Amino acid sequence: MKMSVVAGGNGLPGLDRVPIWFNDPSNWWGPDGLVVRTREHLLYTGTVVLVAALIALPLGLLVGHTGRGVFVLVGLANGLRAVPTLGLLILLAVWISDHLQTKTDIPYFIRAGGLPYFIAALIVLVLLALPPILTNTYAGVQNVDPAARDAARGMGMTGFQVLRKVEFPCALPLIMSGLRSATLQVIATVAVAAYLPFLGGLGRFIIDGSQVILDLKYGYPAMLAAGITVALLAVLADAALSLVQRYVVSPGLSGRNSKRSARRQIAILDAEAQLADA
Amino acid sequence: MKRIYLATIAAAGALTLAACGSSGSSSKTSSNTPPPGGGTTAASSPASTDLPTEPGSVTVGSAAFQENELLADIYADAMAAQGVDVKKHVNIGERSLYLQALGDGSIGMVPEYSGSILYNLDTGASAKSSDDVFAALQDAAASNGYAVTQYSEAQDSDTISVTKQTADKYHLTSIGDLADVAGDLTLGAPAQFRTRADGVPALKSVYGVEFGNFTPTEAGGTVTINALKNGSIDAADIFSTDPAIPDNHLVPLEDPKNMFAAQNVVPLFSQDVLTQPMKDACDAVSAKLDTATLTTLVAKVYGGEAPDKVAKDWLAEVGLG
Repeated sequence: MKMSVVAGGNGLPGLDRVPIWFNDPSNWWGPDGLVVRTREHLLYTGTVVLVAALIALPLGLLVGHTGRGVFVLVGLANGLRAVPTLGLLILLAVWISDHLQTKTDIPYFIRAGGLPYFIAALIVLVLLALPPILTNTYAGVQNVDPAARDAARGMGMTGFQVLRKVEFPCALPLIMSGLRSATLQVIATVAVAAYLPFLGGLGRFIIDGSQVILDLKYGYPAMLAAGITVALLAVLADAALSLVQRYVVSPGLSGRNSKRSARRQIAILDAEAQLADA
Repeated sequence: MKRIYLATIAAAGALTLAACGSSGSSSKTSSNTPPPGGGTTAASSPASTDLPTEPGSVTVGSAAFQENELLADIYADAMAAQGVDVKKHVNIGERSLYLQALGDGSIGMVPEYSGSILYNLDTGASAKSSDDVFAALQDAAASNGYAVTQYSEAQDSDTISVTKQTADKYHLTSIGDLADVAGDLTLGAPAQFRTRADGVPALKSVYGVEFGNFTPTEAGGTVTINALKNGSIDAADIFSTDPAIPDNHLVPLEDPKNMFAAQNVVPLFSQDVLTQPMKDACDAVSAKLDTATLTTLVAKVYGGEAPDKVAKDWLAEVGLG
């Protein structure tokens, strides 16, 4: 009308609707509430990262260890980064749902009829998660100190033992950072799954909301709220993974000083100071 | 202009002004409701017989989607052929924007859809059938300073569509035929279809149809049409002028009880712009246009032809060019 239905230059509901949205319990609970959508979002993300890790870790370790196929691997990883996610998603969804007819559901995870579409989303997102894990794993193994590798061989370790006992642990900081960036990327992108029928995740609020953007319950405020939740999940997931990293990475590598090594460093500094005095 | 309008609304007792102005409020409460009490000051006879007889001039606007742009071209070119001085300003944006343009005089006419514009102008409206909606719209338009000319048979409304195979299998011709079988079927529709008054609740209350399963989908679009064809979903909410309907031999189920409000194409004019020659030209177009024709023309535009060319070709074909 002569007056736009909403305030603000862009004609959208104001940011102050977002806390109001979060304050309404009816937006949190129920089969389409924030809680269920967040659970779906995390389950999708976890599945994608797990599948991507199962493919990329062995491949990255192998290439890093043998030094063969580096050119192919780097080319592949860089090529995957250029895949248009949404276009491939729709192509695969159409193709897979034509060839796989099933109404099977997986409780708490995939609703009846959603399996063909989930597979499409899974493939696309795995392709997205592969490059960081692949390149970091390979680079991690490649950058292991050659002296450590030689020492291991000198002790009579087999190639596999070198990989398992020396190269993999030494590469872990880089591998973990690959997993972390893959996870972040997937958490942020898994929202595209909501383009497909039967699938959930926080993208549901964003994609459905864009069709009724002025609606105060389902429109722009819900889209913003979901966006904020995705950002929060990303931060929390990264924090959780960094915690995991603290525990799995050998203290000798991470530079996290135990009390003893801190004391030792101080002792070294003291010794140097005394030498300088002398 | 805005201040005068606000004052009017305030005087009419719309107490939600502060909310509208600062934080935004739902489209339901703040759209342009006629003042309570019948809008005695603004209302004039909707079917004025004494329109100016000179052709006059008009700027035709349109919403920002291709079908509406095509309709704007069709009506505009038909009026131009009758000697009206026509300018075009198509692709303006969504409804609140082009109604604002219509209100401040930057455009004089925009092609509308009867149900949508009625419910926008009069939130208390309840009319459903084409005739009832048009009658109510004439009043609602007049009390807002607008005028509508004759509506066209062509409708861009929601439909519940199924594939030919599904229709044959369950002997479906109208939505009501789904009542006995819907429990085993899946409906795909935009997410808000599940809660909005003329969505899933109306399916149940008007036709006694309850689908066993529901999934949010786009209204039309590759994924939805494909899901319908491969049986992922059994019925879908698709717009009646979507070229996917004829292309895929889909069957839009009839809606004899008007669960969906009629959405006839209707030219919406600013009252002080409309002249008799404009009305005659628009009425002639409306008389020739039906849903199947509009669908065919929309398909040409989707296929890459310029809307204006499609409009001119069709007008020439039916002798209105």
